[in-house]
Amino acid sequence: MWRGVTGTARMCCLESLTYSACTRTIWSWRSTIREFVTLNVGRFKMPAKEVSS
Amino acid sequence: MNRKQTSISTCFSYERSLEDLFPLISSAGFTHVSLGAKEPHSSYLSVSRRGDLLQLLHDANLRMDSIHGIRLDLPGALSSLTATAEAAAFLDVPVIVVHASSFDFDPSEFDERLEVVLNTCEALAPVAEDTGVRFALENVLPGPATELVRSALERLPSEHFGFCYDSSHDQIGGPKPFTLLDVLGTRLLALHLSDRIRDHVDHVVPGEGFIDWEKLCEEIRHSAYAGPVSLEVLMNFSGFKDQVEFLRQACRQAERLYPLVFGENAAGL
Repeated sequence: MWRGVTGTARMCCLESLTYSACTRTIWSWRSTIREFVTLNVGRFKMPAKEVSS
Repeated sequence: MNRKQTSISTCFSYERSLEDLFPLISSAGFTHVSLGAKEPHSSYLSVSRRGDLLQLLHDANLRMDSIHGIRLDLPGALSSLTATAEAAAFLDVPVIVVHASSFDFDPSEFDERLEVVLNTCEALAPVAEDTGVRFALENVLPGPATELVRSALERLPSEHFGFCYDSSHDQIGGPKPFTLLDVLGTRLLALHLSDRIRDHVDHVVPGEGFIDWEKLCEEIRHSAYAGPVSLEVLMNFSGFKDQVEFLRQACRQAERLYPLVFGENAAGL
């Protein structure tokens, strides 16, 4: 029984670490993307069409 | 005293009815109006509506200088443009403006498209003869689509077919010389005048963009054109955001262009 509990605890700990690392990566990417968009917002607008009236 | 003859297309406000627009256009000082390309806005193809339009023009003390018909190469163009010519004759409108093709196309399609345009125009010639209305082919994107207009007009009789000059289309990629008017000025039947600010930003009021109006009017002055100074302007990119002010400024600019086109002593047409 103890072995089972220890094993579960170890798994939880590993998952937690993985989760935490993932979160950090996501936040890091998010700020990078935000910075990229802020810098290039004017440059990446959908190209407009000429008025064909 | 005769007034300076000026006109504006209804395309600047398809959201308002002609019952609202004609008095506004007249109050701004325009003497003429032209119908934009969205037929459902005016419903001139409906025979019963034509009487209303005539009354509206009369009430607003306006005349109509052109109607924008459908594209020459679309299915049903012949029947639609025949009905448009009948409406134009009823409303005493001398010119129907048409595009000959899509705004741009691949050069490999040129010969096939020219044949389609010439065939449709050949069938329209008797309609023009019967109604007394003439068709003006409009320049679109510089390149094959505008070359198509030039080539078609070279082969079409001048008594029924002429040229509509759109300044914003001509100056795409400009400022550049007005060579198109050098070539087609003798066939000029209609004007779609507007200014151009930069790529994709055009059809603004003359004076808001980069077009050299003195030079352009000089070219028009040497052409065969004898109609009003006719604007095709939109509010999308104009600095004038209030419709009444937009119309007032547009008319003021058209009146300024008038003596440049017809001479200082021109006293109306």
